[in-house]
Amino acid sequence: MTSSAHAAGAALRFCSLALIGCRSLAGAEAPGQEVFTDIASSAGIEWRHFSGESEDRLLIETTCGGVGFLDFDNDGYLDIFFVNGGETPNGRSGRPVRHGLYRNLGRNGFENVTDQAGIPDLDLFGMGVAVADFDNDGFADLYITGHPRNALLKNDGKARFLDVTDQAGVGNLGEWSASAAWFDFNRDGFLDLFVTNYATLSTHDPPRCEYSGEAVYCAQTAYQGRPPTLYRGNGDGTFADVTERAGLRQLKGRALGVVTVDIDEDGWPDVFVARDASPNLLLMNRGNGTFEDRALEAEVAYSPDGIARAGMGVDAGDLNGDGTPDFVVTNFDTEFHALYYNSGSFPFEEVTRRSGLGLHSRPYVGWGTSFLDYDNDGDLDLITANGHLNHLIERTRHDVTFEQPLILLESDAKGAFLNRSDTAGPAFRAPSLHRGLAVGDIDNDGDPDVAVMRLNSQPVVLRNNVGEARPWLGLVLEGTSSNRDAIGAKVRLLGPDQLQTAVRWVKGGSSFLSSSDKRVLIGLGGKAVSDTLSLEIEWPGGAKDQVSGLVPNRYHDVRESRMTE
Amino acid sequence: MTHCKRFETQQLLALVVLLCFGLVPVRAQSKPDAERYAREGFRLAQEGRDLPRAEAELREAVRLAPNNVAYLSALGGVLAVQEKFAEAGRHFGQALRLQPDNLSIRRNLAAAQWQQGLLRAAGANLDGILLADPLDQPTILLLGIVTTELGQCSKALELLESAMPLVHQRPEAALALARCYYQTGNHARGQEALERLLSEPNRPDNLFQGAAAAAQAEDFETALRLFSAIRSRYDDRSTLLYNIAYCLYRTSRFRAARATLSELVGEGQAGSDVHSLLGWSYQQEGRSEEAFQAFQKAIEADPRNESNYLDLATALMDEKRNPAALSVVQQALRSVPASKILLEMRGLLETTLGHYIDAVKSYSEASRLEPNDPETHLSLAVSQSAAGDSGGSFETLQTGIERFPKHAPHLVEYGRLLLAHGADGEVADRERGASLFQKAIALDSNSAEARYEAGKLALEQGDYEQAIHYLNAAAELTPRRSGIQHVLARAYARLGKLEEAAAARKRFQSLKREEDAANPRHYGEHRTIPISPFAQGGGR
Repeated sequence: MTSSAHAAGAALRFCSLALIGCRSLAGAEAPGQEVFTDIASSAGIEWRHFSGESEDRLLIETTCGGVGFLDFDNDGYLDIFFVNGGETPNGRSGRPVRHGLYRNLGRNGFENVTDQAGIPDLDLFGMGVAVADFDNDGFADLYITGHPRNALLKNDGKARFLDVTDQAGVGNLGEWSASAAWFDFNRDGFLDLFVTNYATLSTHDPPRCEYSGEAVYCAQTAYQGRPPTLYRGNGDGTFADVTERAGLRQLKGRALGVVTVDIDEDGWPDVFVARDASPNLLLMNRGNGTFEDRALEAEVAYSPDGIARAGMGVDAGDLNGDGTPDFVVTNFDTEFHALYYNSGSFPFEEVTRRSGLGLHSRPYVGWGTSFLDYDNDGDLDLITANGHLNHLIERTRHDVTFEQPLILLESDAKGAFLNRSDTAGPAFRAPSLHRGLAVGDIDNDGDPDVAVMRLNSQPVVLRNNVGEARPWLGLVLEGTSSNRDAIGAKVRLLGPDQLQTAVRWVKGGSSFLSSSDKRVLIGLGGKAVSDTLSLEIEWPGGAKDQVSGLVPNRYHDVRESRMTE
Repeated sequence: MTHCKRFETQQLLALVVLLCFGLVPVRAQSKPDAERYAREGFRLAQEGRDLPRAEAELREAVRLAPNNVAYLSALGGVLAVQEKFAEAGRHFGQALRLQPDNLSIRRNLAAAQWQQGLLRAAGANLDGILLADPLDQPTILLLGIVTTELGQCSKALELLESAMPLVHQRPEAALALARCYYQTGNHARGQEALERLLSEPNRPDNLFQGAAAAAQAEDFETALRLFSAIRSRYDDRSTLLYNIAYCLYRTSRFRAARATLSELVGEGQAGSDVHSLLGWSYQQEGRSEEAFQAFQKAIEADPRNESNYLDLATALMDEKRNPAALSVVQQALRSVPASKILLEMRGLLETTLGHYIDAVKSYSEASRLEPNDPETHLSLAVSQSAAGDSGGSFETLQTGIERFPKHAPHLVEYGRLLLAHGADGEVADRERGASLFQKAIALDSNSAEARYEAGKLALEQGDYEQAIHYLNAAAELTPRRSGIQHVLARAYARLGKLEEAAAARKRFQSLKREEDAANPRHYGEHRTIPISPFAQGGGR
């Protein structure tokens, strides 16, 4: 195992300036300070989403819009990939519907490099994106989901992408796919791919619904749910469809969100799937290539009353500090976004109401979501992207709006959330049709920034103005025996007494249609911080490494030792 | 529907009355002219040829001798035979006041009262006769029939069974006996009593009434046998065929029912009820498009009848074509604007489709039409809550609890709303919620909903034993509801009763599958469901 301050270009240079002591340890935003600023326009991001919306009201038009963070050119700055929707039979665009790749120029904003990077015009309606270095070559690749097929774009290491879908065998033909997650379910060091499939879709003879003679989107139950697809990486750039062998074929349902993490601490990555009016799945990895759905036993399949909610996005994180991953799932209005505490055994405890999430999310239809420690105080907070899909909703209810705001909830460290949306910045007071959401540190200042997709609109790129005021620790993990992105790794921050003080995972998937920064950020604001920090890393392959002497307020490269347990 | 004809009883009355003619002494009590009119009246009445003339002669006799009991009684009898029961009763009453101990007159008065539906008065008079003459068979028979109609079947059976020879002679009495057997749950003896009617196939009216009695008791096989026995002899063929079809429908012979009804349609004798039943027969056969057409014809045949629209709307709802059902109900309300049931149906459909603000309007109108219906009031409160007006819902529920203090569902809904939206802080709301659920249980021992809510609350509060107690009670009352098993499984799991939890989860999954199969849009109601081609005139 090696540890070094990140030497990758600008990231290190930037972080080196952020020495401990340079900033107030008291942290917290100054009164009146805007937490997040939308920099999309000022940073040069003019790209707009196009959903193909028409009076046909095809459900796919309103469930799309993914975004991904990746450093495709390895310059140390996170770039952004925006997934566009597409044209529909009666929803035509006046110009080509292109995905968007924006290179992060550091302090000089972003530039559109879609063409330059060879992002092809894909013959699919785009939904989401999953970023990972699938072939362990050190360069981030893109998996784009959609209908009626998906696409794998391999980064050739020269800042260009090649469509290798057919060679890799991950086209997922005929499906309407949503979120996807890269993970190494068999722990062989090669990434595998879990793809959620939503439903069967005919754009020529879709179900049609109306309100008082006006076309509206049909209920999700008008669409027949589909099972997920699981591709096993063969290690040679190709994949095998092992859905049947893994025992997933019979799990039909309208799946939208997925996150992978080791739930029961047996070393094998498990899968939480958020599904829309179908019971959520909690796929426990048996370690033999198969999964067992234990969502019902864990009490995450249905609402407490036994109703399948409209699950869209999902994320995992240790919210209550017990070292095990807890989960958030975004749902439909009045269903509440759900929060589950995992104490290491079944059932999980749903704390939606107790935490205040119920109250804060009641009128919202939630999509992208992420745990993030936006103020680096050491506790995970929560951000969700909201927006309705029925443009006539305000004629049917008094308490729900069509366009809805982002919400930012701060953990009070006692199990409750405080709604910080009002003071979080103008973007949180601007209702819109938000969809995909990804989190990443775009300016390498040690706090999480956020990108959010808005249907048929310009995306929002939120620069965090406050987190950098508190100490933090950043990690760039690199697997050697394990997959190079270290997806599945578990990081324990150790206190001076060598006791665990925080746990973070490199997760597969998460949120909705989107892909977040794989670097690990740990806010140190609420912790006893010594001059140097120690970590224990449990790599996806099973090896454990102890790292010490880490200096706060910078990113550190941590490479997996070749030793295994 | 009209599968039951009015009970024909004139024959029985005539029997009673004419028996009495011979008992009333014809003697001069006043003027000789009166006696002359009376004798002519008696003669004509006994011959039964010219009752209006007999009535005129007797009226003249009564005018000339108003206190002559015989004349009064005879006039009452002639009037009764002509089905002028009210006037007959008045004359019998007048005669009885002159001769209170005359049992024959009292019996006639009772018969006239019975024919007018004055059952209690008739019963009292008949009881009086039996006090004087406990073995008087015609009185026992008539009292048996009267008590049957009063719904006092135990007493009626006692009376009728003590006069069986006369019962066997009188089909009306046999019908009363059969009705009582059915009503007391003795279907076999009811059938036996009715089967005797088959031995007299030449009296189709009696067989019809017997069949109707069986049908009313939901013994459709017996009803079908009796109706079928008079298929070629009953005068009102369309009514008979409709009733046969109805019995076929109720015994799940949908195809045969449809064929019988189609016969009527083919003969041009189909009213809205025939089209309606035809629609349901098609619906049961899974031929929904033909069902919708039949229901549409029922509407055309009787556009003022709200039930025809409700049939079509219900059938469309069965097929998950709720938008189309809604447009049918909207059309119905244009024809029958002040129909509470249509407004409620519209509210239900709007709720199902997620049009909550519209639903509030519908239930408000329905509630204005019938302010004393607690269910309508409750629906209004629920729709307000769904529309996001929890303040309005609280207010409506509060009013409802004051106006309908014995209506448990109001209490349950108030408690549920309190726990969902809060009002006085979490602890106080929970305490109040628990108290409301307890009151609801005390008011309605069959309220599964109150127990379910009480169980959920107990679970939330960590009282797992209590939760299981309530939830098991709720499950006993509504064993097919999946949600109860889900919550029960959660309670067992927290109590460490893992086997019981697993069993409850298994039941939950099984019931859930049933619910999803029966209602695939169950969880999508916050949006909308597909428009039917029907609503769009057959195309998209």
